[in-house]
Amino acid sequence: MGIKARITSIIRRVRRGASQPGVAASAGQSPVETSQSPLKAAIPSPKRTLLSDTTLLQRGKDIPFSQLDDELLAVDAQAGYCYSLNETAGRVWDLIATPMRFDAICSQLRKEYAVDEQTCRREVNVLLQGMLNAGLVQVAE
Amino acid sequence: MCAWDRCRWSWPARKRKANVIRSRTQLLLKIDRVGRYLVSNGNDIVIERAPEASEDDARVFLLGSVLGALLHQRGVLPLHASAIETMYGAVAFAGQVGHGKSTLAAAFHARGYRVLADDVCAISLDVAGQPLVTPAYPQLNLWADALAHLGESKAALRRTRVLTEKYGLPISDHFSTRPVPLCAVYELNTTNSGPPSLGGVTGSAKMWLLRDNTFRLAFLAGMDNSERYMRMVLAVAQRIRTARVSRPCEPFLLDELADLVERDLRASLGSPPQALKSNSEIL
Repeated sequence: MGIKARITSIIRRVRRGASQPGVAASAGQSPVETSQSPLKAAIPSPKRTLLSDTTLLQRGKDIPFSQLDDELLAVDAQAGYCYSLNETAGRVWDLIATPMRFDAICSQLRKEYAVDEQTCRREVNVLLQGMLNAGLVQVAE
Repeated sequence: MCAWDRCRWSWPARKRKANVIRSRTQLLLKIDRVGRYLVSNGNDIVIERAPEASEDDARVFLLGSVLGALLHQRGVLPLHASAIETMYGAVAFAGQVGHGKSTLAAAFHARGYRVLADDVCAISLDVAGQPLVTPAYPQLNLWADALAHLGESKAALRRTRVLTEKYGLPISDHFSTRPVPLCAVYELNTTNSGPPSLGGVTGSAKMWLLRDNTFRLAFLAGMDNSERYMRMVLAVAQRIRTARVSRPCEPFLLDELADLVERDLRASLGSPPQALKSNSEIL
């Protein structure tokens, strides 16, 4: 086969592959699929979970964070997201490596940082709600 | 108190009338009146040159987009940057076309530094996760006005392509031939006026700087290696210094710019590592 014919047949094959969504889907998590359907990937529809003192929280997915200057960063490559946490949010992420109650998380943080109870509870609540919606955190049964 | 953020990793949008056809492991590039290039599996390039195209025409795209596609297929990070070797390690100058990447590298070359790459800087990780710059080919491609800044005559040089006012400056005398650990990336920008200025980039912004300066980033969308690429950008960001440098369009202030970078390297990286000190006497 001459080069021209070879290229033409390859173009045909490439085109066929690209125009069949089923091919990519059956090959597992295709980056194209995920990067072009942003909302389907990692975010369940935003919902409010009421966090009470006794709600047990744990990590929703175990993605490794690593230190980058004063941030903790993780790449969820399959879903096509990048997460960044500041120091205190990173501490919460540490704590929920094993399931932990909401009130226990807050009281542990208050031991480590100079923060009043009300501010601490409010901020941790906002943080966990956001991470719950992103699927990064889940409520343990 | 607690802050967190989630960013979608966006790839450049596909153009409708693109001259590129991609699959997970292959890429076909069509250039009018130059030819077609098929790049496969990171180890195979087939060129079909158009009858009216010269070898120089074909070479320009081979060393540009085609090389970029090959590197992406290999899982190597191609930064749109020129790079030099200092006693701290490799330093890359990234930025858009016309912002002075090659010119700044040429200025450092004139100061006695070895050049590692021009325009495309190939970065890979060694087994310990250290980013390394693999040397490219010993030539700097410079516009006619950049040659004038450097005091080089274009008469003796080869044009890289008949249609463009770009010349190849051979640099075989001061060219590095072994991989060098990457220590810093400077992104070059131009402003209307004012002296050259420099600002450090930290945290997640480092990753976006590397992403935005990735050569032919659009090739990666849908490629087998795109997930590996994202993790690699984070790993590289953790090991290097990044900063944005601004310079006025006119005058170029080339020497001031090079001084600014030398000062920042000393200030941010401290005393050079012993291992590197022994085999490099510069800086």
